[in-house]
Amino acid sequence: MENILLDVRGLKTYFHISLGVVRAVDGVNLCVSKGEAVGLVGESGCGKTMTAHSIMKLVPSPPGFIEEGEIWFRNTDLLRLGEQEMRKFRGREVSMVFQDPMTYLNPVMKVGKQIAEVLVSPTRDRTVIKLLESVGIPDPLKVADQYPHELSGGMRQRVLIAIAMANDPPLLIADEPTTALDVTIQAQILDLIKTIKTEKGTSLLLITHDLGIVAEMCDRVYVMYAGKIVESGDVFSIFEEPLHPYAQGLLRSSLSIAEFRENLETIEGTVPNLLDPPSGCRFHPRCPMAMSVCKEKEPSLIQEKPGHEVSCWLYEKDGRDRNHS
Amino acid sequence: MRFYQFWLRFRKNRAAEISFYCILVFVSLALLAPWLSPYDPFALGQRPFLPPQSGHLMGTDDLGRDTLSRVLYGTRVSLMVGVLAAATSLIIGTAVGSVSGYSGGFVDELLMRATEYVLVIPRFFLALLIVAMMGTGITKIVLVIGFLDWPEIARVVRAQFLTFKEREFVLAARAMGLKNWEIIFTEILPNAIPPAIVVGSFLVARAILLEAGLSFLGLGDPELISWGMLLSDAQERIWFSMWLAIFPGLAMSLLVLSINLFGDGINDVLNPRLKEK
Repeated sequence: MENILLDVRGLKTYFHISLGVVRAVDGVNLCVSKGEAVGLVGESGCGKTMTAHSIMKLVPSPPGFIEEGEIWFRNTDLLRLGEQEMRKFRGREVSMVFQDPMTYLNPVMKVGKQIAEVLVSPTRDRTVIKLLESVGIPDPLKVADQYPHELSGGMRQRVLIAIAMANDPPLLIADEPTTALDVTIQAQILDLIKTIKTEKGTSLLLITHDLGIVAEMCDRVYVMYAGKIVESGDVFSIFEEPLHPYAQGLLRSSLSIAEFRENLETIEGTVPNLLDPPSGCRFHPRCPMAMSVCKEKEPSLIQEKPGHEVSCWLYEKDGRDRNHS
Repeated sequence: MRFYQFWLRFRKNRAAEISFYCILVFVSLALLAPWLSPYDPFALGQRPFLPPQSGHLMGTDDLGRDTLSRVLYGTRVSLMVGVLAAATSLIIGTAVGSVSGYSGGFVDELLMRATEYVLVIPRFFLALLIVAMMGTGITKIVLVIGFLDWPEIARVVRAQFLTFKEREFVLAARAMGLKNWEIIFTEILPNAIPPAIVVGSFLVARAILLEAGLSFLGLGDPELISWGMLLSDAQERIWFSMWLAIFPGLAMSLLVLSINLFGDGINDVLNPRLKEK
């Protein structure tokens, strides 16, 4: 297991608010190997971003607390590190690209300075220009001297990527890096991330709700629902043969140019309120294949095929028997 | 280029533009006072109580000293006290407000209670008391005013920090491993400074008035000429030589008004949304 870079085990991040406890991340296991691209997909509000923030230990606290779990990065459990040591990790070992390039850049600071700020090396100015060049910015000298509002959305996202890659971190977490961009720019940014990944051998944890992006970018996928991982496996097996009804629904409701459909299929209902999640399997109120056992007991994550895990009663021998009896 | 845009927007407010020129005039008068003054402001003249006339454009006082020269020299003291005291307040207020807003919790509570405490003290009387006890002198006056006038700055800066520390770019900065002081100084402070500058410009005006008040009551620096002192000297003779009061009074009103309108103008440019309402 030398190859594993990031290993998250049983992560639970809860928010204690006046109404009760929100279980935003509830026992998530995931790992990322060296040089691997891993996707984390799910609907809005299912805990994807909070998983990422927990890995960086950036959960706003209070009210958020990481209650349980281990986050192993190489041979260190990040959850045991103090704030001081954690700070050295951020940016150097793990770094992050965010969703909205507008709000994640400081409006009153020139772009070049924002990049220089995170650099550890002393040869700042030249490195800044090099970084801007490496993310495909045409006139790096000029851009370095501009403010974020003078750049387009795509350019801003490139700058954010330049900042994230400034210290060559082995792991890059990209939290919906293309959601705020229009489609053509999306493709360019994804290409850029791909290039960086292959050139530098950076591992990637890509958080998105867009299955198309996952199919294009990732080696393995985790499907998340209501704070839990419901299915994981390599991209091909999940796209070929999704096991969990939620994953099946997600795939069916995604658009494809190849086939014309009169009506787009949807998954009925919305993500459950994590203050008071449904009993048993959290997907059962929306699941077309729900059985009586789903309401009562939570399914565990079982390995259905090599490298392809699912958490659903349909695949548990035990569960099927109970349903028929 | 960016400065030019700022200037264009600032100029839309006519009153602010004129005030800006007024302030420029006052500043140059203060700087050039030794060359512009027709007489030595301390030199006793032969003819006391001259009304304004050619040769003595603002007349002379009880000891025959030229009022114009004295008003010019008074500009230096007023501007200096105003700017330095406001700068002192700005530094203290920014420091208190930044720490308070960024750290939150107990530190915030403590600093804000202290700030409110300073805020409720009647400033003028405390300044009076301190200057009376510690003795007069321009440095002491500047420091006393500076140390009493920072609470507004602290509150404004704290409010800015409270909103900006929740912003995404601060989260991004933390995700990149920046240290707390780096986040305070390079990420949040540049965003928090503009409103503090606006408050600071009003503090300049207030410090000028406070200093005039102290001098009027005889607690100004006796070795320097200040407008408050001129007014104080004039009050006994206001009925038969009112020019002694009118000119320093006019100068002070004009400068304070200009600074306030100038501050308003800056505020309009920096917070355009406020003006639309």
